[in-house]
Amino acid sequence: MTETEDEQSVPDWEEVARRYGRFLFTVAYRLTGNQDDAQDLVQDVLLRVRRGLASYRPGSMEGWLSRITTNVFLDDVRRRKRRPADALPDDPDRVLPAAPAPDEALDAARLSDHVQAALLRLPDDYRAAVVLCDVAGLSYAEISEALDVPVGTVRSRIHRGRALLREALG
Amino acid sequence: MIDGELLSALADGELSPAEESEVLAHLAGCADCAAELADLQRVRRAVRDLPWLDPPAVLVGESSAGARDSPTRTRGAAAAGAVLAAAAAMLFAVATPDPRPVRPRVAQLVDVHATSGPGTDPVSVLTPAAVPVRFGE
Repeated sequence: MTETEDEQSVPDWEEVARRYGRFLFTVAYRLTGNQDDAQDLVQDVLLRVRRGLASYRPGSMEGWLSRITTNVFLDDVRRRKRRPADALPDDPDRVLPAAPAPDEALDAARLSDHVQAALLRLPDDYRAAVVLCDVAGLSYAEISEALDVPVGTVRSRIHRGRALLREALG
Repeated sequence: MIDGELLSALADGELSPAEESEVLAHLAGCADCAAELADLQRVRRAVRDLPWLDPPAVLVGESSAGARDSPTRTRGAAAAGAVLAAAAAMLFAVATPDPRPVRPRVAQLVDVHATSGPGTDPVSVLTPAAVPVRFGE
C-alpha cells in the first residue's frame, strides 16, 4: 500500500517474497528442521525486510537475506533455550531417526532426512555456518558478515560442523 | 597431519593461493590427509545435495512456489479483503468444534501488520482466537 512503482532503488518486499521465497524457505527449513518453524521464520524475515529496507545495501541479496534469517533464527533459539519446555526441535522423531538400513542407502528421501537430522544435532552456531555455506552457497566473507564473526571463526565452525556430520553420517 | 580446517577450506575454494599450494603439496605425500579430505568432501556434497524446498504458497502470494512469472497481484483493496477473509475464517473456526486450518494471505497480513500502529493492527485484534489456529498444513 505504501509502495509505488518508481521506488525501485530498494527491493520491494513482496518481490523479495516472490523471487527469494524458495531460497528463504529452504535455508529456514535446513536451520529449523520442520515446516512450521521454517514458515514462522520466513514470516519473521519478511516482516523485518518490510520494516528494515533502509538498511539494505546493494550487493548480494542472498547474503543480506541470510544475515536476517540467521539473526532471527539464532535469537529465537537462544530465547527458547531460556525456556527449555519449548526447546528446538519439537518433533522427537526428527531428532533421533533410525539410521537408514544399508540396503536402503540409495533412497534419496531417506538420505535427505538422515542428513537433515544430523544437521539438527549440530550446535546452532555450527549449523548456521554450514547451512550458509552449503545450502545458501555464500562465501566465507559473506558468512562472516552475516554472522558478525571473523572469517577465521567461519572457517573453524564450518570445519567442526562437517567433522561432526561425518561422525553422524558414518 | 595438517589442520582439518585447511582441508575444509580447500574443498570450498577458500584458501589463499599460497595456502592452497602448500596444502596440495602436503596432500600429495600424506594418505591420511587425502582420506580426510575425501571424507569432508563427501559430507559437503551430502549437504549441498539436499533438495531445495518450495515454500508454502501462503508465504509467497498467489504465484506458485518457486515460479518467476510476472506478478499480477493488485494491492490495497486486496490486502483489506485478505484481512476480512482471515477474520471470517477465524470466526468460522471458533464456531466449529474442531480446529480448522486457516489460509489467509500471510504476505499481506505481514504488510498490514508492519504498517499498522498498535491498537489498530488487525492481526493483533485477531490473534486471541479461542481455538488453536494453524496456518496451512
